[in-house]
Amino acid sequence: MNYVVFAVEAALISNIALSYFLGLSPFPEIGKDKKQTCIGALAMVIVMTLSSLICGVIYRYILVPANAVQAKTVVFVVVILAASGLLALLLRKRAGELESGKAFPVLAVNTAVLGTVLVIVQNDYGVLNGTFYGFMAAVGYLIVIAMLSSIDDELKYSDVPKSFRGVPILLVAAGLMAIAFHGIEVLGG
Amino acid sequence: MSKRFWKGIFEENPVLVLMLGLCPALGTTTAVKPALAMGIATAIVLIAVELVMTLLSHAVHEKVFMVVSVLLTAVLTSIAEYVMAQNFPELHEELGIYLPLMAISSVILSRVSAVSKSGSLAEALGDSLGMGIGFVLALATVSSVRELLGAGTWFGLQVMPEGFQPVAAFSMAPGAFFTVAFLAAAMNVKARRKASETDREGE
Repeated sequence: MNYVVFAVEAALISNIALSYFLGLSPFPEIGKDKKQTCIGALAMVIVMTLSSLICGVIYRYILVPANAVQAKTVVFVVVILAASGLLALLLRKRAGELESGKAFPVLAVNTAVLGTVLVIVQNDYGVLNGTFYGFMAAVGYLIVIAMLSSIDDELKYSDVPKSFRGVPILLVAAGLMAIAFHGIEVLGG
Repeated sequence: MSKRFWKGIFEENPVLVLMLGLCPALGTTTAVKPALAMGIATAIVLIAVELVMTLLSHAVHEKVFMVVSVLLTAVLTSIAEYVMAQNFPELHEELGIYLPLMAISSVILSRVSAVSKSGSLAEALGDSLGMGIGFVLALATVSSVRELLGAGTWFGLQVMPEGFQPVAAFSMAPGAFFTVAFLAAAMNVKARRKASETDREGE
């Protein structure tokens, strides 16, 4: 397997936000607090890589041999809650400005982490490739969130129709980005 | 209670006004059938979780309230997944990652944290029923638009005339974003008109 192609595929072409629609719950908050959103997305890179690794190991070496694949959702949710809780604890010590109380629900409830783990399991990537996929998918997510928050900045100076202000125009922007990202696939082929 | 119920359907529609549950609203709405399945499954789990957490609101400590809610939702989601896989294997396959993702659905968790803590069962019942039905209706609307324009069919039946050229973009990711954006904007227009009407009545 070509890792460069795999990385581009994970981060851009099948971007978790734009083609799987994961991690869109912070959308209404994007414009409000840029720093918080970006630190949150950055923290997600760590949680996502960690969760992909742990969930991959648990799925492959415990759930599949024990024939308990049905329990995967509950197990993954517990792992992700633990991973993001741990990160919130660490962040509280390191960065005083990021209120852990705020970061925790954003991270825990964020569908991106669970979704990515589920994609890894569904596509049977295995532990190592799965962890790499998780990391690259998180990087792709960070790129999209950073771009969307800059677009939101620009939108302040443009005459957006009243009913589209707020989330709807961001969704239109995301749709246009999805078209652009889809084009990368053609470049590769 | 009934006020809460109607709020969930239009005024505070979870998807098109509150912008919750965007993931299933965008991901499962390529066609009407999977969207309805997803909507109904979510509505049932939402009602169950909201009622149970309201009953437990005095017994569970505030600090672990959300964690307990997430775990309960995850368990119920697994059951829903099992039932779906046993009875409708094709739908289960089609919904893919979106059905297990219900375990941390923002619709369910934000309603639980908004309403269940108050401990009023009537409020919770009205809210969960309204939000559940509102969610199903939103998904049905989005998927109807996307299936009609993207494939020319509705619920798998050919609706559009033969000369109709399907717009493939509507069954792909960009079409999902555009459809939800336009429907949300339409809801905005309606809400604004209503607000200005009540203003005038006040004068």
